[in-house]
Amino acid sequence: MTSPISAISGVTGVSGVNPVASTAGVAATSGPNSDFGGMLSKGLESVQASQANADNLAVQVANGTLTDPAQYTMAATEASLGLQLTMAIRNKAVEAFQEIMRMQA
Amino acid sequence: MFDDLSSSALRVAVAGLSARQTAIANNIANIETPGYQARKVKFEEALSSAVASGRAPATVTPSVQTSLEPTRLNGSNVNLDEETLSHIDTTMRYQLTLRAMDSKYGLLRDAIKGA
Amino acid sequence: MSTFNAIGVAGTGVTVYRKWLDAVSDNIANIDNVSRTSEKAFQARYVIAQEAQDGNGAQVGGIAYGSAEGRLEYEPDNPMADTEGYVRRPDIDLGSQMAQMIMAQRAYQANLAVVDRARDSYTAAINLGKG
Repeated sequence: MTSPISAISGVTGVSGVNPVASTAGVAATSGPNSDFGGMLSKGLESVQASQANADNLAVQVANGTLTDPAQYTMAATEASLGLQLTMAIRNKAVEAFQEIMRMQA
Repeated sequence: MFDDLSSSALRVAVAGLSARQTAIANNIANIETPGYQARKVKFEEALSSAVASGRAPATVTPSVQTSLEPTRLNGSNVNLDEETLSHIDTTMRYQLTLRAMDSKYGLLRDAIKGA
Repeated sequence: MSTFNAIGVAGTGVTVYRKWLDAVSDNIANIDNVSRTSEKAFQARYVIAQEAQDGNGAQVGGIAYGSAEGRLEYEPDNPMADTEGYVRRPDIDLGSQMAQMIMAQRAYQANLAVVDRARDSYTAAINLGKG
């Protein structure tokens, strides 16, 4: 299956928020922890990891060697929610970026 | 697009578990049939070894074998306790396997919706 | 059956107690068995339960047999009686067999109840996190 992660690339464009902050008096968003680009790519890495984990457990579900079914369902839920959360953050960031660009114009 | 390792392994499991459900139903229906040999469906070991050795899970097909249970007085060798418990196990594993496939479809669906 | 481990373990219990129930019913069915003094009496069968070797549940460790001598009964009218009028009957006490049957039945049902409750928990696990 194509990794759903690749469907939400284009995250790096968001890091353009930084230069805008100094002109509009909007609270500065520079700094390593509040850099949206960095935050989102870390989020994507962890979603990819939780997806890989869920996939491994899915193979164990298939061949009957998984001893606790809750392990799989928890991993699958975490992968799904992680993806949705990362996408929600990305969408909000894009909205904020577009809002700021409009203010500039 | 849906041919990654876990998807194809899950697909084999769905086929195997479904075949097992049928075999169990047959066994229970024939519990008093003289001379009936209980049928068992096997696929888990073949699937594990395929995955471990890197072969595609799609090469694994579930196989039907006769049970080695001792025959009872009427010549049938169906063990009702074993069939009942196996049925419960198979039903739940089927649900879990379908849930797993559903999760994988769901991830892709979320990505499509959000893009 | 290792995905739903509790069900597999309870399954071993169900097997052991079913065998015990079968043995006890067999003993009771043969309690009025008559044999000649030159042959063995019907021997009661006892199932020996022990912990399973792989640590998962129980297994039948072996079968023990009751006395082959049985009881010598004086029944000169019985067609199987020997020259002195004796026959052999099994040395089985109905009361003790009935007590065993109750124990085996309760153990059997207890294990089935475990399967039932385990099924509920595992179903909850399967449905976890469904939106």
